[in-house]
Amino acid sequence: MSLVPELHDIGKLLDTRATNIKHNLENCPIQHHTSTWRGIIEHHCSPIHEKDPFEKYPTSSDTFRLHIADGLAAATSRYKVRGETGSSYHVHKLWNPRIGITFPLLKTQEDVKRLVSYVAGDPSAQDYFIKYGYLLRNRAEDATSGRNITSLYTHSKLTGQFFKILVLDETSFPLREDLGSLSREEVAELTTRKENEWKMSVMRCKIGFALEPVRARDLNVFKAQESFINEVKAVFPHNILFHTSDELLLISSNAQQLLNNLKAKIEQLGFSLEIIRGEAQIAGLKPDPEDMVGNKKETIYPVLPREIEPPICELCQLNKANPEPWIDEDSGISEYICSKCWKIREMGSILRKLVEWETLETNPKICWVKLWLDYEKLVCSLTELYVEYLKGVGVTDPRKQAEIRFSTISEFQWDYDGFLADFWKTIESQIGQDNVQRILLDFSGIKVESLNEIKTVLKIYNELFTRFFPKLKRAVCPIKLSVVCSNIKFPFLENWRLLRDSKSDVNVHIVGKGKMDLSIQDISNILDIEVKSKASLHRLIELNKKSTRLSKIVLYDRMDKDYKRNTEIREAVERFGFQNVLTYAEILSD
Amino acid sequence: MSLIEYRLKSEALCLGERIKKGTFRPTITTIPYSQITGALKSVVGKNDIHATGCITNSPKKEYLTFSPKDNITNVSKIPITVELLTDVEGRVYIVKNQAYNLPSSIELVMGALRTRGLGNCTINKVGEIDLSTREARIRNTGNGLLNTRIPIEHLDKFNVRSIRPRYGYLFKPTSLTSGIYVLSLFENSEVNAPRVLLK
Repeated sequence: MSLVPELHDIGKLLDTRATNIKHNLENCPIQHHTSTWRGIIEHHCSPIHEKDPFEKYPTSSDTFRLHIADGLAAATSRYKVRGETGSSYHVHKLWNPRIGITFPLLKTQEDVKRLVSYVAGDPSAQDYFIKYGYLLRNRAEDATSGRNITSLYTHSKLTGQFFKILVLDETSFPLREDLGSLSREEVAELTTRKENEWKMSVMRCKIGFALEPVRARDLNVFKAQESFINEVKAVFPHNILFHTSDELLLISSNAQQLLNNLKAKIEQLGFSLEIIRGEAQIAGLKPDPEDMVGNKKETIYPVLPREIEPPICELCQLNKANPEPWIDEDSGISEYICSKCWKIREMGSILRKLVEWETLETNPKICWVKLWLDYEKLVCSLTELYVEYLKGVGVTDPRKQAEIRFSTISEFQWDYDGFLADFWKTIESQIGQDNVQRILLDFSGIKVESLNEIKTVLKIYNELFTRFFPKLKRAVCPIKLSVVCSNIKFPFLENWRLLRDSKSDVNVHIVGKGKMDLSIQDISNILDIEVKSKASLHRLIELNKKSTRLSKIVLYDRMDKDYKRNTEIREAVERFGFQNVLTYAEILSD
Repeated sequence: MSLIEYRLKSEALCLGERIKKGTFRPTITTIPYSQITGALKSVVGKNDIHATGCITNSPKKEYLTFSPKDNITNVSKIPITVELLTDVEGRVYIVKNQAYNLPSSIELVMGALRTRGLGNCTINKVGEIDLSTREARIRNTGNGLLNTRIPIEHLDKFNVRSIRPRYGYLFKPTSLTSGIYVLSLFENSEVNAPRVLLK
């Protein structure tokens, strides 16, 4: 059996003090000789002057690569966050720290025996994550206070990914040294040398498409985008470190080969890819290529000719349209579209509920709800939260030491995915599953009876955001919520433009009625507004439809008959702005 | 070289894209090279004129629904909804040509539905952006996101260099009745360009 890198830190599930067994199991009374066991005992190479060093160190190429992969997947650089700050075995998630949690480590001899015999049975990584998943998710990868910011689960997965990249590309990561003949000091030296010699590329790829959906079937383009990401995940399972519905963070030893592969895929679909990539020695890799010196920016498009003879595709306006138009059976309307857009339309009615709603005579209102995650802002806010945490545990010079690495980003992915899953599930349970058409992991269409249901969406968002990311409420918020509500007949491409153009943390746009742009801090406060005087509110809304300026004048006119009754509204306007309050009033009064 | 800067005002504009679904004509929110250059050519009567522009305020979007008639049969077609921008303010940049002087105020008609009263614009000269010397170029250009649409073949005329492009196609008339679409840089392309053309 070959070495299973994900198991290298299984010894961290044992209580070292109670069992007196080191986490690399080198002093475990029972020893085995499988490759995975070798990986566990040899995955560390203690620096020369370390106080209580591990005796074992890498003696073969695979355990050496595992040692390097372990370092790459660590929450903090081995050289940073120094100082005796105590132990905290629980994971301190920067965005959602849980205080007062004690972690149940394995303590008894029975526990040790069970764990050792489990490793001896050469389990797969998948089996390991199922069996010890709960413990792995709660145990910090590094138990030192200030370094306990990622779970053993994320660290183990990431180590596996890095290890496979290092093993599968011998050309980029040559290792000719005979490790069996080297001393611990020599291996430590070799580690530093290889970390400064071996190079990898970090790439952020944002997927774009030019197709402007006008029919429900054109929304299949989102499904095509999802399939594209799933396909990339299947072809490069070890290279993806983070992803959203339209962005990928990839790591590779051969960026060009990976890009060529992506290019071939986007060519078929007519997508484009905005890429930022940075190459560095593995010791200097950063989770945001934008922060890497000498990074390159490019956009990959399918082949685009210099000139196109009419007709041009009406949907994407990037390709020549097919000579035969696409004819709508019901209306007889013909559209000149290209073969790529045609293919998307011909994928059939994947989004069945939308197609059904489109044919309803009642012309229902649809709320398009999209969440956006800004990767650059995420790295920034996590860095700020890390500085705050390090300050709290008494680390000197926290700003210099706070460095966000791949593992923290991957850890965030778990919670972000969980947040999205809970968000849609709660919406479905409160608004009705039949009324929710899921389009992407972060995008859905919701059929609403009245605008009041937007309040339900905002409430759910606020509650879940507070539960999953309480600390992000006080930082630069990387997550954005956009809600656009319109009649089903309103062109989707306009809804999509409004969703994309959102600037604030929480954006609500009711087509033809108004919009709200709120910060994440404001959302809970605005949801608490209660306006007793409904009649005067209606009057203001009606005036606002005719003239915003006039309704403002009336609101502040001391001679107006409703001046006293409008006190609550004036207070709300002071806090959230006139436009926001009036739009919110529209929501409440529908 | 230099760019002559004009302030643009229009009550209603539809800077059309292709009609969608046969029933909806959206508008873009910038002034592309093709639209403003075409409009200027027909007013000034010069062929070697190159201009582009951008919208500087946040105009309101309104919708106009009407039923066009077939010119031959006089039968109404399916109603079409046109998206239009009202109370538009913008800037137009014309590449200075030493061979002729342009008037300081020009009335022109631009965009779609001109027969229905849309697209009337007034442009008034406000200044000149000097790009003739190295120092002037350093002073007046920078990196950022493009705020207009310019064909690739005319980028050099505006001193625009593409860094990370966002491509699209603009219509280029080749005769009174025909034309082709040419590859162009669209808004939000990352470029090095005169600052006035950046977002």
